[in-house]
Amino acid sequence: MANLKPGGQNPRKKVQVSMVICEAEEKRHRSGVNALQIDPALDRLYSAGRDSIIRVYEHERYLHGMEHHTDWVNDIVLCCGGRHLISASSDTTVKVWNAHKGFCMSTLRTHKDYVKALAYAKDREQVASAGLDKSIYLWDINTLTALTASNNTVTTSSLMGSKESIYSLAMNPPGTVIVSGSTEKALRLWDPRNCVKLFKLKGHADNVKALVVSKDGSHCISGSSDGSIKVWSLGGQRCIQTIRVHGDSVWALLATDSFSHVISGGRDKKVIMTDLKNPQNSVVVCVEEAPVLKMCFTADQQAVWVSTSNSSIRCWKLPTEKHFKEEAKMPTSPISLIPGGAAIRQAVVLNDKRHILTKDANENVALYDVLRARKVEDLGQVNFQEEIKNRFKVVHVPNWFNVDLKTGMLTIHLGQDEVDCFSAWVSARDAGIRDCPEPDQKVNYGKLLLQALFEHWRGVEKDPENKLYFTVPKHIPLILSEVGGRTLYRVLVGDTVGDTENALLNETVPNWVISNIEENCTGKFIKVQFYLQPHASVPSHLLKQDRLKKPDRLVANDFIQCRKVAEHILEKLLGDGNASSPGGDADSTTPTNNGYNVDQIELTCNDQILDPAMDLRTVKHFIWKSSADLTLHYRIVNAK
Amino acid sequence: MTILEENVIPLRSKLRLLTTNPPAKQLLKRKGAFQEAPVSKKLELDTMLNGYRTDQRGNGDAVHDSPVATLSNMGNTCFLNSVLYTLRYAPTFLHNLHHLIGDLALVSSRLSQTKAKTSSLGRNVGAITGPSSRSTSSKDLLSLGTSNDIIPKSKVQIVTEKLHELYITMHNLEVKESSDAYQPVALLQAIREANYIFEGNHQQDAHELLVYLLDNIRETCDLLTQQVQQNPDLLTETEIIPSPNSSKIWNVRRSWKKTHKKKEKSAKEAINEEQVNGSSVTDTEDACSVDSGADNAKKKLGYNFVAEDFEGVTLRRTKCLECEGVTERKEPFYDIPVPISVKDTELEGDMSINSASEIYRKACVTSEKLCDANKYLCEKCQRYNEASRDVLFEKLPNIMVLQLKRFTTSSAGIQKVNTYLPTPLEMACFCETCCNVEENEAPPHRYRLCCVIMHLGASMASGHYITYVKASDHLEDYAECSRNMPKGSLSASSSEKSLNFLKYFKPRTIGGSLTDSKSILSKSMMNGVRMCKSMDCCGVKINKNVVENVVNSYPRKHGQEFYNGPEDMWLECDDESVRPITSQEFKEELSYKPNSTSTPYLLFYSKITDVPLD
Repeated sequence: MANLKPGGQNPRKKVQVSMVICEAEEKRHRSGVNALQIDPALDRLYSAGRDSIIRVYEHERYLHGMEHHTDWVNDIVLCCGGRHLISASSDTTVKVWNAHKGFCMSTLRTHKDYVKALAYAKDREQVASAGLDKSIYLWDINTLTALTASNNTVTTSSLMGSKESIYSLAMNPPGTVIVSGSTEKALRLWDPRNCVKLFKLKGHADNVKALVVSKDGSHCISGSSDGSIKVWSLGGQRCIQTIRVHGDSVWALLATDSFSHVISGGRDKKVIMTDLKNPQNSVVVCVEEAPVLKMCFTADQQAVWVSTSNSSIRCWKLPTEKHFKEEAKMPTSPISLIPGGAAIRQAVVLNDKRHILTKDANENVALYDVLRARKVEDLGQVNFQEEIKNRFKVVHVPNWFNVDLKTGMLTIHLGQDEVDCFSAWVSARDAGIRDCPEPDQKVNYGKLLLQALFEHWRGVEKDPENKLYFTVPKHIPLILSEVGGRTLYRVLVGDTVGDTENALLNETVPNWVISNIEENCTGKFIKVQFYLQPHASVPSHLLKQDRLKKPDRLVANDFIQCRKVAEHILEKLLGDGNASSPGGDADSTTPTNNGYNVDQIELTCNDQILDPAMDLRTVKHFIWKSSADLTLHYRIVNAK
Repeated sequence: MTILEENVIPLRSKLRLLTTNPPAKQLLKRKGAFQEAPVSKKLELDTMLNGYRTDQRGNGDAVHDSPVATLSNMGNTCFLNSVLYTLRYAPTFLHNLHHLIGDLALVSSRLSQTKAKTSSLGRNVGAITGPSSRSTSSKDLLSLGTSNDIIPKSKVQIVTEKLHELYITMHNLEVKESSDAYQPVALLQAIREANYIFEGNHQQDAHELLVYLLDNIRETCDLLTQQVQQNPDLLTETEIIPSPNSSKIWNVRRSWKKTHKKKEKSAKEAINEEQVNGSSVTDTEDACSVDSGADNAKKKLGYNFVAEDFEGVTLRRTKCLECEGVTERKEPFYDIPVPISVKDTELEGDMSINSASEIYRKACVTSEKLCDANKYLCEKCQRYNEASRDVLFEKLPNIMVLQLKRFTTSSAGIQKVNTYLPTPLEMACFCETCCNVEENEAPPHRYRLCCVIMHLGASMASGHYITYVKASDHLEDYAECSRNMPKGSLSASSSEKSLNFLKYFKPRTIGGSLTDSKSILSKSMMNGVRMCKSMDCCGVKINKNVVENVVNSYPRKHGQEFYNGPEDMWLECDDESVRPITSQEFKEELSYKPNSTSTPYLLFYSKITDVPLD
């Protein structure tokens, strides 16, 4: 067991703590919708969002959301007659859901990179998953749904031979053939019954992003980033038709049951239906407002639901014989619409390193408070840059978190270690803590937030020193993940009370987080090194001679204010300096031994006079503007 | 003046034909000869030539006269000499350097004139008014000379000037047919003064020096441009001054003229369109006039020739595989690093142009996939996605420098990779335009090898640099120079006065305008083409006799005539010893030799733009 010690051969990857600032219920998709599935029996539409949430609509009304992924959901498959849903995500997991009740039953962590595509063989209840890790895994759904916490081992077959990242996958209902499309620009085929590699089909000039296989497994249609759609005879192992109806990459395909028509959508925002027997015969179903990501038939197969990289999902009527014969015109508006919400597109962390100004896809500007994990102000459609400028303050606080907008919501990644996470010390007054006994007491933003996030897990401390000043809403998802990699655990802040959650958190929360939220440790302050030099106007007789020889390098906490430095000068550098050390709350107007008071000491940096309330890191950042050691000059004003 | 222009163009095109066609023929010839040689014989020749070379070296340097001026090694300065030789023979370099120095002198003299004018009206004003006051006293000269110093010269500018002075000295040595090797002390001093990394008597990286020198000249150009921009009146003043004696056109005025010419041209084009089988002569004429027109626009005062000749632009194209949005980033560069694999690939010396070019194209034009842990942060998707990244060349410079990455830093320090890579005499261009040309069409550019800096030895510190350059006077660079000032003078000024006082400095380079003395006229004309006077200042002057002698002294063992005239000769410049060799010998030198540590390090290719002949 020696090698499991820290620093041994198998060091555990660093763990990062993150949270998503969202509403208690995110009813609308915040960003693009990557996949759609229909349950015809219940008339339910399942949509997989880039905002990590799978949403269920019954008769086009929002029913509930299925939240457990922590990154884009790339594909979903409804199986077992609509009872279960399988999802694939960029958080590298595949999840099994109870579709009716909407909870996650189990998580498969076999993939090592984004899982991009799923394929379903209805007759055999098999699902295949594939992704950027070049691997394809074949799952037996009955086994997956039978998984429990104690019986959690799955065996999977993998289909070997892919050389590049897989972006699309398809299987026929009897599960006799599986096709993958990848950046290899070729299709690869396997027989899922024995996992034997069959052959490769070359012909596309770019990534293959969409695939459909006919029921009998004799034909296959592929859509590629080269803009073409190709129909392949799998028996003949060749391309039998190339359809060029799109002006850009083809990203989504759908074939009618009889394999007589193909519906395609792509980067050119168009959905086009083409007669496979007569490819010249094609009808534009609709022109969306964003690139088309996915399509699925309605229950009656007379229309298609279309999802795009915008958050709204629309239903469009499919053309009939009349439209193909140009006897009737296609309607220009959708027959149904599920409106989406606006994704946050821009986020700027303000100087106080606490508030974030955001702008969403609808140009609405809002202000968020990270410490409270909530939106504090809606500003409407105002000028974003102007608003940033207005909120600029000459304050410098070190970074202690990062912002990520990949889901269209604010994801806050806290600093990856003690140094980063606990770098921001501010006075309780600046942090807006009113009931603090000492307004000058320093508080740490990272620590405050961690305490709030883990409040329900560890319980509120009774110790007034460690009193909780901030709380975050219980619905806020807390995510523990490997730095720059896989998600280890996702839990809502309010759910951390539970026993299972408690145990899992004990396993995943890094030690430095636990020790800092539990113990009353002040942490390590960040130091600033600086030189103090007298201005030429300072009478030399006032200076202590030994201080003149060489400039002493001084070290202080980065949040020390200039007033403190002035006090130091008064005490140590001027006069005889036998005064006792003035406290932090010393009355500055009290004259000291040598007849000067603090207000008469003026500090300058780069010839700029410093505000006594300014702290050293702000001076260094805004006035000194260099990574070299800070140099401050002092002089006496209004000398008596 | 229009008549002059009309006369000039056909002459120019004549020269073009003269210079471009024969080499092509020679190339064919050479190729043929080469293919005839059986492999066994080739090896034999190889060893024999090597023996011959070492014999000659053993006998000392004084065996034969050098065809050009030479530079002596001042102790670990072969890195300097190799670069100086290279730049001297790099096409268009000397000519452009000369005009840069001329412009510098002109601008600084003008600056001081304006200064003097504002301080003391009178004598100087009279002097400027030009031809009337021809007899300028030496006093004026002195005052001008000293006022020149009012504007402090930057160290950068001094290096550039010293470089030019060195080339003047070399030119003078060649004129005198002196065989003494020259010590480039002054230049080295200036370089060391301006950049501390070249201090000390250590062997330096020739590549580093090359980049430094080019940067230096570029900076000098920028300085000049700045000065001109800050004092825009410098140029207008010139325009006001009449120069009745000069039949030449000062560049600003030429650009004014250009508009007139363009009108003429468009008229011509209309005629051409009517003629179905229009004579090709008119076509080339047109092409030439377009060229010279463009040259005029570019080659004005402060024309940054380093940027024009040595700078290329890379294009980095990144495509997110999710949203398929493309972002492009352009970056200028001086040289292209060519990675060399440590593994010795089995490459034989006899490679066709295509396959050799292909090696370089593949090494330079790259395509990679950003994936796994190295994903691309797509701004549109706002997340890390897979992406494809292509590095291509939007523009390749007129003189393309390929730096073979022979020195790799490993744990054991800097090591040299001796893997053989072919050095083709001609290479296909791999800029984006040429790469996208249809298969049945010829790409618009090619590259021809003009200089090679070889590194000899096992390590960077212990090694030695020698240079191979194409033996050429580069006469074509000087033909029909748009910057051809009335006199081939240093100051390149149009004012008669400055010409007169230059007489005191360099009587030899004083020439008249076309209407002046006949001797000068003959000098400035070659094959009926007007040549820029600067060739008599710092141009290369190869002693043809020496070359002929060397060639004739070759024992003709193989019954083959390798020598195809002086155009086909190369010079092996090894500090004070410069030896002419035939291109065949040079090819042998570049061919594959097992375990050889003398390896090409910097390859200089000059761009050839093929004018399509319809």
